[in-house]
Amino acid sequence: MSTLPVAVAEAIKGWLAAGEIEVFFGYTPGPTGLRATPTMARTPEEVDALIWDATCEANLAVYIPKHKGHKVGLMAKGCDARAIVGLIQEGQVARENLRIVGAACAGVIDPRRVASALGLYIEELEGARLDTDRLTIEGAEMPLSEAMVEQCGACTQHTPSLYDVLIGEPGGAPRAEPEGAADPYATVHAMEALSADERWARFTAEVPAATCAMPAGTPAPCATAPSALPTARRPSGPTPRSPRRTSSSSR
Amino acid sequence: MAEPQPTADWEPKILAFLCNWCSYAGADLAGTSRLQYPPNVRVIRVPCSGRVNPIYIVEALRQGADGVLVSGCHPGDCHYLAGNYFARRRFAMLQRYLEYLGVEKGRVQFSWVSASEASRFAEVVTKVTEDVRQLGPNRRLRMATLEGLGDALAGPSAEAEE
Repeated sequence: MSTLPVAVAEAIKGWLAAGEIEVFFGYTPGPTGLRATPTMARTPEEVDALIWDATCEANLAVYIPKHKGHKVGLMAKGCDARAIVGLIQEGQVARENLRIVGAACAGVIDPRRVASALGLYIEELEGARLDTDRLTIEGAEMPLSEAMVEQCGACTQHTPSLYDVLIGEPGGAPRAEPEGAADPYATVHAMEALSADERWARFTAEVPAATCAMPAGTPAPCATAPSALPTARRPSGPTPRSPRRTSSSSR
Repeated sequence: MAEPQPTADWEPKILAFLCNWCSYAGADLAGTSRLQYPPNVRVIRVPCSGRVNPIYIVEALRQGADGVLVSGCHPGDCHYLAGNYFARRRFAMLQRYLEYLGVEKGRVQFSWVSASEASRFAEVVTKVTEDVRQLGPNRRLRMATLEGLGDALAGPSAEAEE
């Protein structure tokens, strides 16, 4: 984790001192080290405790409508800036009542993805250490691109569209592999290319057998091998099944 | 997987949800006008196409219908002002979802038929019947136990419990 650049921290302190804003929404280190906790800063000391790194996943724009009528400042990634623009367009807040610290973001960490990669529960993750492009946790090491929120790989707006002060370079190169996502809708296109039979085979491969049982004698699509498409995560082992209804009673 | 081939005497079973104010009246008019349309439809009268829960459609397929037709008033003509707008949105969603699951396109169809459009009703039913006939029997989303309830109850369901 890293604190804010000095110039940025000074700017925030200046806004607070001048009364341009009443409070600043930022991030402090979270308990697991994988997800930062949103916090409010009103004093210079509190501003000094703020951080910006890849664990700052939360969208702080949600606090704007909760402080309607107040002048607030906040940190915003590219995606959060879109939320702020939405709020401004809907008249929820005026741009002149906001002070925005933009952050050129290369993607944020998804603790769920990390936990599932390690086969652990989120609560069990501790002692994460973040380097420029690697994440070390629980004795394992993974590239940041594999710990990121998957959607970040398809992000088109790494630099916020509006800000007063920016952390990082405008249009700065993202850290991790978004280039690999030349087509952000690759999975959708792959799905659209499938025939009805292939889709059904894929679907039945993911649901309990009883749901798709066929009349005797017909080829059972359940037996068809799942396609190469990414399938939804599902706990292994027997799946609990609702009691079968044998009568024709309707819901 | 090969398409299941319908046997020679197979006839599609089609369930039709008709809105009381337009399509059902249209079907009524088609009948009183002695218009010919395929006898494959089983009609369920509903107050409004907005009354049709998407789950009814899925359940119909589950219970063995080969096709489902939902028909209501033309947009803007709903007796309850907005029921068919709700229906339209729901069915747009349901159709995309069924498509995603791999239920063949054309098994579930929607149409707008007003009370005076008897000939249109006959056309719609003919078209749906032909489409479903082309697709063959519904093998997907179908509850196995319904295939010959008497002896099959033990058979397929026991397999399914595997």
